[in-house]
Amino acid sequence: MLSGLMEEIQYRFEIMGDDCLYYADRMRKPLMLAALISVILTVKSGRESSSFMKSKLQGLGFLGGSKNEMTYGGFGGGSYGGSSFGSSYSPTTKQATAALMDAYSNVKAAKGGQFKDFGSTTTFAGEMVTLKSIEAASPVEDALSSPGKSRISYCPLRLIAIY
Amino acid sequence: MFLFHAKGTGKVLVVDGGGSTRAAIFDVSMANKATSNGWAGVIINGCVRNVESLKSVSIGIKAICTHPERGKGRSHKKGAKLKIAGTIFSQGKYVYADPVRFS
Repeated sequence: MLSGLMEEIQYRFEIMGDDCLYYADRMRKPLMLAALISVILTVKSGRESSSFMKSKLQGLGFLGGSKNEMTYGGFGGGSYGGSSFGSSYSPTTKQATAALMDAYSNVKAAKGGQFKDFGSTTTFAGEMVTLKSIEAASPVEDALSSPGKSRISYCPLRLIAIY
Repeated sequence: MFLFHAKGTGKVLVVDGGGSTRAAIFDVSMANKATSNGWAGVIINGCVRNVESLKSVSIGIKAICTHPERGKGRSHKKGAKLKIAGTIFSQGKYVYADPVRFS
């Protein structure tokens, strides 16, 4: 009785083993393909985000060039639609907007003599967020309550995220 | 999960106040909020107030004039294409500002 049961169990296990091998053979190709695709996507996203970061930092003068020199990297094929405020400088200031105007033909400069500086920082740059609010202070307050830093997210382990 | 966030660079808020000099639309409390939220600067085509306190704020602030009263209006439009000082400012493009110093 007991030996018969053992034989039965052994037989069942053999069948299971065969099934496993059969399915493994059939599934190997698509699994490998999926793994390959995910590796390619991971590498691609990593490279994209790093180059994006680099160009962004370069554009703002944080990377590249000497300490006092601003370098302007291309954002998305050098599409500068922004404007710069050309103005006069003390002799020690690097003429950043002037250099920008010289280097790129598609930069637009705003009319001078209109704006005054009120903060302690007078040189700044960045992506624009626009708001039209005439004599209304609370919409401005709401806009400034949201995060003002662009965030770049990437997943170096997309392989795991896919599964 | 498994997401890495790289800290980006600060953005610049461009506000078109229509060049109005009848009320201020930016003050020191907003400046402090902007600093803590990582904004790089603000460009206001209108008036600011609390000017003495604004001197110690570390973000860049450009505006046309000063006025002691806070603007009480509510109507606004986000992400609009603005025309300030003969130039079009559109959301997502980049702006570069330098000091306006004549001495």
